[in-house]
Amino acid sequence: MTEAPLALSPKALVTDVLHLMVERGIGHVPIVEDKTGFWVSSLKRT
Amino acid sequence: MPLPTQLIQFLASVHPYDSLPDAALDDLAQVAQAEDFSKGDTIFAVGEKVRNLYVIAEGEIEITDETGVQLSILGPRNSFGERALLRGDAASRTATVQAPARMISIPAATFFDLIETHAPVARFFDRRRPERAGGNDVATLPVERLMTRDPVTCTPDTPIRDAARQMHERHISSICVNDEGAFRGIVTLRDLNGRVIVAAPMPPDRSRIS
Repeated sequence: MTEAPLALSPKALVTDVLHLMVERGIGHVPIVEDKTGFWVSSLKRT
Repeated sequence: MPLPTQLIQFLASVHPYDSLPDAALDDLAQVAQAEDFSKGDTIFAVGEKVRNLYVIAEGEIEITDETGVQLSILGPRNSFGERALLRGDAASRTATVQAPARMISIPAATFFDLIETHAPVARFFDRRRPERAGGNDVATLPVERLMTRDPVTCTPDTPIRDAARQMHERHISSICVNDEGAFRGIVTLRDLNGRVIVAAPMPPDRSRIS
């Protein structure tokens, strides 16, 4: 697995996710609550 | 102090300023400022008032969100600060100098004058998108509106084969890894392919995903 990957908060905009995916060449971005560090979901590039 | 000739020529080569009439460019050169920044300088931080539009002439600027995640690295000819100016709100991003930078700062009032009086500038900074049939632009939605509420997770000691089986059966391409409820990492089909199948340090059924 990839430990401590780049992650965004649920409040981030979809455009931020797309930007991160393109900039970093990644296909998945975990969505994590800011303060708790608990994982909420992930978005996949399709 | 007006912009040095070299920076005026630079600005005249950057869109949308390349579309300005000579007189407008001369006026802009009178009010814009050349500013030099060192590595590590913060141009503005989340929550701060943004007073200028910045055009990068030299150097690199890192843009991060409120959690510190890097969103982009901007270089020469890129500009930033317009989002906060256009919203009339505090910065929602932090801009930090990554490599010594020389920038052209355009005061907010001048920025708005340019938008009002020069259509190419207005078009360039118009972040609205054409309305779709449904009226929503997915790019401007917060991700919480799209994300899965009940995602598949596993623990670091989950056997790789079990993780792969879950992905296969549920038709998903990633599983996030939780350790005692806290987010620890992510495993994707690319990980399984590159690190397990290709590298094959040991048989997949005996390897743990951590």
